[in-house]
Amino acid sequence: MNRIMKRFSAALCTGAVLSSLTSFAVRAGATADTVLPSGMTVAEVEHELDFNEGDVTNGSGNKYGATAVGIFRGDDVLLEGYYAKSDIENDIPTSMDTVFEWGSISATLVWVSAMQLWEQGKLDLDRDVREYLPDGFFQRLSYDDPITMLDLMNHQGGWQETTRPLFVVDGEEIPPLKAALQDIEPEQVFRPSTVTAYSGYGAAVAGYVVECVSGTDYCEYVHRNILEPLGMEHTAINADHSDNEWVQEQRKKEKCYEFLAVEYIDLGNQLYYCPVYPCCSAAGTMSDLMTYAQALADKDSPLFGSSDTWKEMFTGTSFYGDSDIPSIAHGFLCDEHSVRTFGHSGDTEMSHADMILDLDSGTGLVLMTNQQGDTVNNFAAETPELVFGKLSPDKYTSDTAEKAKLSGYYLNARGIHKGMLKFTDYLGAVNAGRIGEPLDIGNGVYQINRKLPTLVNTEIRLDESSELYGAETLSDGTALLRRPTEDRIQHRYYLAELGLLTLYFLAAAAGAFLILTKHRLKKHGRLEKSFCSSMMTVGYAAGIISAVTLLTAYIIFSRSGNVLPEAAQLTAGRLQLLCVLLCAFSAVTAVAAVIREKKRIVYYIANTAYNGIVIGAVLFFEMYR
Amino acid sequence: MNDSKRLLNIVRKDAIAMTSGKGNALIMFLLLFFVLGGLTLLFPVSGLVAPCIMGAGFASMLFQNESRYHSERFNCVLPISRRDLVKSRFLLSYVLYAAACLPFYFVMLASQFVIRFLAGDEFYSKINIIGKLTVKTGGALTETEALNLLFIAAFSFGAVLLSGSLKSYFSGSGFSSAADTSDPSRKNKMWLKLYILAAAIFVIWGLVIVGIIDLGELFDIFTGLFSQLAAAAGGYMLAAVMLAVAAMAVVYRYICTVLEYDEKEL
Repeated sequence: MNRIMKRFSAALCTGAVLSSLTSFAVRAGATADTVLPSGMTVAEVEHELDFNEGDVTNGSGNKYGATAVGIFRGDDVLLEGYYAKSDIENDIPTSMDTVFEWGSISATLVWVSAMQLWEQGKLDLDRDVREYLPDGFFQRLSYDDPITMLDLMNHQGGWQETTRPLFVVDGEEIPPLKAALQDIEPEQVFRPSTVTAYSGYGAAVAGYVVECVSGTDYCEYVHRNILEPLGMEHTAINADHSDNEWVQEQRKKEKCYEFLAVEYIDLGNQLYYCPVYPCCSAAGTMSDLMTYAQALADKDSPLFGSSDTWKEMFTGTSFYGDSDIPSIAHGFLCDEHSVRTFGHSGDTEMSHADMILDLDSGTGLVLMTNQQGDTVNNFAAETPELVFGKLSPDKYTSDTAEKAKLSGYYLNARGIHKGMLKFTDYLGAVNAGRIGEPLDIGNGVYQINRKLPTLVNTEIRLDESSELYGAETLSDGTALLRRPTEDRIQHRYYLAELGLLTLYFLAAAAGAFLILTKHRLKKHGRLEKSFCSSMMTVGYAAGIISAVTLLTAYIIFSRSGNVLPEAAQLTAGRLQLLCVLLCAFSAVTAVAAVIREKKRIVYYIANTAYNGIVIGAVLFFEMYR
Repeated sequence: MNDSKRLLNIVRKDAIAMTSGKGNALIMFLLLFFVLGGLTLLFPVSGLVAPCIMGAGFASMLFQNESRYHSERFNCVLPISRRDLVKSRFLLSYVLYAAACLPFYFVMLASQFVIRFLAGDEFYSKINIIGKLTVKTGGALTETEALNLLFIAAFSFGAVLLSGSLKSYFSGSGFSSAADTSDPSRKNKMWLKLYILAAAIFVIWGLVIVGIIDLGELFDIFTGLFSQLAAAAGGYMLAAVMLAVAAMAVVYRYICTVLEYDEKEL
């Protein structure tokens, strides 16, 4: 009987172990009741994470790719969980050896390196970075104003998004950092130190500044001064991850997934190489990232010689309005949950990652998943709030807070403001009256409480959220809404400009119908042949070609991961110029016909208006650039 | 007799023909209206079907008595120009189409409150397809704006269908169409066009199979572009575009109808 009971118990234990092979969480028993900043205990958070994981095994099908979650307080790891599968087809569960990409969290290595050099007196954060860089490094600056390291940390260098390729597919074709930076340099569209627009380019330039100041290759500098002192043996930062062979080999095995409607799409390993690697190339295990996060959250951080440097690093450098509420602290993004947090998130073609720190309690969260986007699955969307809570509507407001009224249309600062894809800016504008219910909490700061509709299974749920905005006015009178990663800039004439864009597309459609109508009339012998009529047809055709060229450029841009190859830009630009010339010629012909014939005036005026709209849109939206 | 009086006379004559005789159009229309209207009250999205159905079937419904009693031939001998006949029938059809579609819009608006009142918020949340669409726009469109946009899309689509059905009506209305294809050169041209079209379809299909044209990605890009256009200015930009394109299509079809009807032989 005893033998039977023993065998039965062994079988039961084996079954329990086998059934938990798709996920496991490691937690020290004593920490289960530890209360997190959100007010939830570790056990409650773990239950929620297991619930999300349970969707995988409860017959709902594989909804999630690999997710690794780490929660710590000081040196104690409160929770270390690996969920779902890193390879669904081959049934490989997520584990401590699963490698994820850091994405833009890589930029924090630049900021830490910069603060180390500042501590050593080698780098002045307020000096123009051109004094550290080789002469003539920047070729596309529009302003003479200095660009300081603080501007780079605050993402206020003034650059727009680049349309040049940020990634290469062939690992053999990775150029050196300096050449790569000069190759993708975008236009500077804002005056430095004014508008915040997240710039990976700016972060990569800062990495090159570290290289120039330290006299050491940036990759080598980070290994020597950050990764090795912390014992991070499973992290690589180079573009092709060649600085860590193990990571390089593991990364090739990892897969990326996209969940579309009801099924998982295997996107393969999505292995791309970023030549401007300081801003986004780091990759490694979740436990390594957690080690790094623990070092950052430590007031006596081993990363710096003095705790004053640590304190300085987490002192605000960009603020909401005229208040002392920081939005950025030396490159670290400040977020308002139930507590104030500092951190960064990252996205690459392969993965999403979060690193969030509550410096008062020393609590931190790291989360990594092999899907792109911060709401891509419930782990990424919900875990930060499970740990740190939400910004409550009354954290900064009181009963006496006044309801404010925001109005006008605002465009995102992070985008393309010059060049042939300038029109994409206008499709993402925000009506300030629609942002939510703003409350004026003083000093130019607004707390906006929103109820955003979200789809949960098949039901619509209203998700309450709060967010801070800082209202500012630039020296040229432009109104700004300040946010951590990108400001929103008011466009006074947005509706008129949008109207021009609409008329442009409508004109192209009208041109198509007019050509078809003329063809019909000609077929039925009702069309008088004349030079003027032919020229007008040429004008209609030019309008259509212009619109098709613009849409084709946009399709190529979207399809290539928000990159427009140089050849495509040149071809599209020249075609647009040709269309402008043809439309101008057609318009002149129509005007001449009105003066000469003095009949069918309405028809000729309409034709002139048509050509005028096409020419105006092409010039205003810089479709020729 | 000036133009507008002439047109009104034709419209009056058509209205009488519509409402007289057995199985007249008015009864059919009222039946359609109440059945679809009731369905829309329970499921708001059903209201989008009404403009499409009316667009496709309005022409034959309005002028069915003419076909039944072969009275369309008289139009060719009475002192009415064919151009005026086409103009007046397009005018009548579109005025009635707009008047018929508008009530469905108001029923769709009302149904949101009716369903909530009868079945509760939870049930409404489950069947609220328009609400789920607004979620996809990230809150850029409210439910009412999304409903307006969808309705205008359906209205525009139905208007284009109506122009097509009117064109078909006029091209097939009691006239011999043999003249169109009896000419051998026209026949050959028609076959050549069909061959070219078939070759183009075959080439495009081949490019899709080989993977040069990625239909999935193209679809994603166009739906992305459309959703961005829909989110701009509360959806009214896309609505204006759709209405304008529909108007252009209608005018083009009208011109084609006038040209072909003018040349038809008795």
